[in-house]
Order: sequence, then C-alpha cells, then structure tokens
Amino acid sequence: MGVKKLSGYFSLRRFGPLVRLSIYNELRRILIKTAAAAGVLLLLALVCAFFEIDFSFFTLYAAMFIIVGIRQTGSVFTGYYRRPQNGFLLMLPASPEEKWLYNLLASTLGWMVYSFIVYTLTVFAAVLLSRAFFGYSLNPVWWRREIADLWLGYLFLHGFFFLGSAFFARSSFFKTLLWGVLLSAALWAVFLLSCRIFLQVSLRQGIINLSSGEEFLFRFFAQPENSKIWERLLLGGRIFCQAVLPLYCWFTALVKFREIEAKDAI
Amino acid sequence: MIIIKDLKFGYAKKPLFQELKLNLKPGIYGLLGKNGAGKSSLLKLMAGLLYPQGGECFVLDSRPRDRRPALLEEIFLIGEEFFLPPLPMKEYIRLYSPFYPRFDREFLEHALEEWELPREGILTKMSYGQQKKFLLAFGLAAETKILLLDEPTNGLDIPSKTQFRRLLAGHWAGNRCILISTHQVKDVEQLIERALIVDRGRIIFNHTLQESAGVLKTRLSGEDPGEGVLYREKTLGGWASLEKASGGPEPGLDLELLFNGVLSAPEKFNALFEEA
Repeated sequence: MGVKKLSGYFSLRRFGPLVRLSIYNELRRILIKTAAAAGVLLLLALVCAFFEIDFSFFTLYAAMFIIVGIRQTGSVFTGYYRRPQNGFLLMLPASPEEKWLYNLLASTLGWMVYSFIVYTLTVFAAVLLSRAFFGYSLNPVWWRREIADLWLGYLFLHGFFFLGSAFFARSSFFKTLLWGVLLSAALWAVFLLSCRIFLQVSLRQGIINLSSGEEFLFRFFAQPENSKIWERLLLGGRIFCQAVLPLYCWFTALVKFREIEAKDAI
Repeated sequence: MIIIKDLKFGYAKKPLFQELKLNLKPGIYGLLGKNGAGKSSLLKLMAGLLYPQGGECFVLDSRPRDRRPALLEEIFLIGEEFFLPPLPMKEYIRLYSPFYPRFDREFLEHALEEWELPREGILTKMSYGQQKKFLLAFGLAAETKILLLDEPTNGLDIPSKTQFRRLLAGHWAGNRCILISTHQVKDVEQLIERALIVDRGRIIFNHTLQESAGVLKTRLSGEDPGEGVLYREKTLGGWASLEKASGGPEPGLDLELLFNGVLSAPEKFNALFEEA
C-alpha cells in the first residue's frame, strides 16, 4: 500500500488539528469535572488530616479512575448518534480511523496520564495544606506498582464500554453496564454448570467450595506439581483480559463506528 | 462530479428511491420536490451520511460512504437542521478551517462583513439566522468542489437572502457543483442553472433553465386560458399558465409554475423537451 493510500487512513496533518479541536471542544467539561474530582480528593484528605486518620490516597484514586474513566468511555461516541451533531462530526474531514483513534487514545492513555497528573498535584496540595493547617503529615503515595496494575485492569473494562458506546445509540453507558452484568451472570452460570457436569460437583457444593478457595479446583492447584499450571492459567487469563479482549473490542468498535449513518441518530 | 447509478434507498417504513439515476457536472443545481420526496436524503447520500441500499453513488470518483478525508475535504453540507459547537467564532474558524485545504479567509471576512455578523461571542448564543449566515459564509469560504445546501434561505431575512445570492454568485467558480435543495424557489431562482425535480423516488425533470425557456413560456392573463395550455393555475389577479414557446428563449420563466406543471404531468413535459 502506497504512502498516498495510507494517508487516506491516517495523516498527522489531520490528526493534529483533530486532537486540538476535540480537546478544545471538551475543555470546559474536562476542567469542571477535574475541579470536582480534585476537590473531593482534597477535602477527604484534609478531613482525615484533621482527625489524624490514616488516609489512603491510592484507594480513592483507584475508585475515581475506574468510575470516571468507564463513565466517560461509555459515552465516547454519543455525539455520533445525536442529531444534528452527528452530521457535523461525521462530515469533519478526517478519516473514521483517525476519529476512532482519537477517542481510543483520549480515553486510555490520555485519561491515565491526565488523571495521574491531577492526582499527583492534588496529593501534593493535600500534603502541604495538612502540614500547614493541622501539623499532621499525610502519607503521600506518588507512584506504586499497583497504579500500573490498575491501569492494566482498566483496559479490560475500557474495551467493553468502548464497544458499548459504539453500539448503543441511546443510554450507551447504562445499556453496556446491564449487558456486562448479564454477561457475567451468564458466564458464571455456565462455569458452575460445567463444573457440575464435568467435575461431578453439585451446584451448591461448587459455589461453597469456589468461594472459600480452599477445596475443589484450588485444592488441585495447591499441589506443588500443579502450581505451574495455575500460574500459566493466571498469566493466560491476564493476557486475555488485558490485551486480547480489549483489542477485540476496540477493533469491533471501529467496524461499528464506520457503519454509523445519519438515520441511526436520535 | 456526481454519478448515481440505480440507487436504491429507503427507511424502514418508507421506500424512497428505486433505481435512481443522476449525473451532475459542475454547475448550480436546484433540487426541487414535494415534502418527503427525498431531497434531504439525496443530499445525505451524496455526502456519505446515508448509505445506499443498492446501486452506486460516486462523488469525485469516490464512494461517499467510505468517508475518506480526500472526499470530505471537498464536500460541504449545510443541512436545514445544523450543529455548531459552543465556541467563539474566531476559535471555530481557527480550529476548523485547517481541514479545508483551499479555505479562503479573505472571502470569509468579506462575507461576515456583508452580513454584519458580530465577531465576538459564542456561536450557539447567536440567533438561528446569524448561525446560518455564519455557516453559509464558512461553507462558501471552504471552497469545496461540492457544496450541498438544504433550504439555505430558511431563517434568513429578506436583505440576507439577497446578500446570499450575491455572495454565492460572486464566489462561484465554474469547476464547482452546488446543489441547492429548497421549497423557496423564488429565493434561488436567479442562481440556478439547472432544475432537478424529484418525485416518487425518481428524477422527473432535469433541464437547464435556459433550455426550459426555449421550450416553455409563462403567460399571465386575466381570463382562463382554457385547457389548451400545458398547465394553468389561478392567481390573485387572474391566471398564470405555461405554454409552448414559439421562437427563441423567452425571459421570465416562472420556476414555481414550471415545478407545479411538471409535477402535474411529468410525461407531457418531458415529451415536449425531447421533441424540442
């Protein structure tokens, strides 16, 4: 494929202005939400400092990162389903791949970097203020391995909600959430039924043993000769959930995104 | 510039086009038709906002449904219902003009001046008419090869309509294709080179106004001209009729009357044009 043909799919000449105008259009909304999130984090940190309670910045950051992140991702394509905005967005001279890529990068890498910067600055402000006003030093956590794990875990949810946003024209976030719950319940039921059929374990026994984590499958994997199988299964599961599944969802979202028409708009 | 072959399109409960054929060269076209005839849908099909369910639609040798940037840079559609982001006008121009390679800032300034549009303030806080004028000015300044206008004069006051005609005519370059879909025939009558009339999923009339003036003439009379004329309708002061022209083209062909006449008996009019 020639350079000219490739530039029909992606060109920095278009992608730069696309990123610039998309951020500019979203700027006010982003700033308001950031101020609200940072305010809550700061307030809780200061209340904890006042009562000299040990405050976990990371827990709150993790919760906000996931909740706000998937809420945003779940409606990332909403504009493409709103009349008359969708005509305006679809006619913008950039390729569908560029529009899709911007939304993908903004809601993954962009969100990770941006939320971490806001989090770091808020922690910094909280530490300074707690020292100055209450003489109590909060224990800041600037960076820890769990943050990287959190980001990787987020990719699994991100893929699912990104796809949901491309598929559902109306209430995409809530519909995806409902689908997620139903799908999880169905998978769990299939898993339990499989255990009953293939491993000769009663449904009730299966639930009890699986939740206690002591017997049943875990007893098998606890044996030293089987521990490697468990490690490989875990690794395989992680690769599947944090790479294969998100990739599948992202590219399926692109296929669906290309098919959005004016008549799909509500 | 635009080639449509056997296009099939419709909505769930309403089929619109069956084997629609159309070939548009550079020029200014008036797309006329009754409500629900599919004028806006046809414009959206050309812009790639709707996908054909059969047949082909090519614009500048590309399929609009692929939405390739090389084509999107050359099409500007202003729908009857339009969207503008809540940005100051200057920011909108700064952010959106880089997407159109031949964007003419000088012309935009001239058009904004002509329409006396305020440069400050947020676009979405302007009146509907002001927003429309801004979008029309931006669309003309974008210098795209294809300009699709759906009811462009709706919401414009009388002086603004005149200015719109002046701006479009003044900015018209022979290599562009401008398609104006409208019910306000009088507003664009002086601009249009060729009239396309769409009815029941087909193009039932496709002739230049010059051609039409050579074949037909409008006559106003106080008395009923009788059934011998091609088409007649009662007006406030008497009767307006369409008659077969004798001799060379006659000026003053009433486009609204032509539209009504063609809708009443398309075969009769087309036969007359073929004969001529």
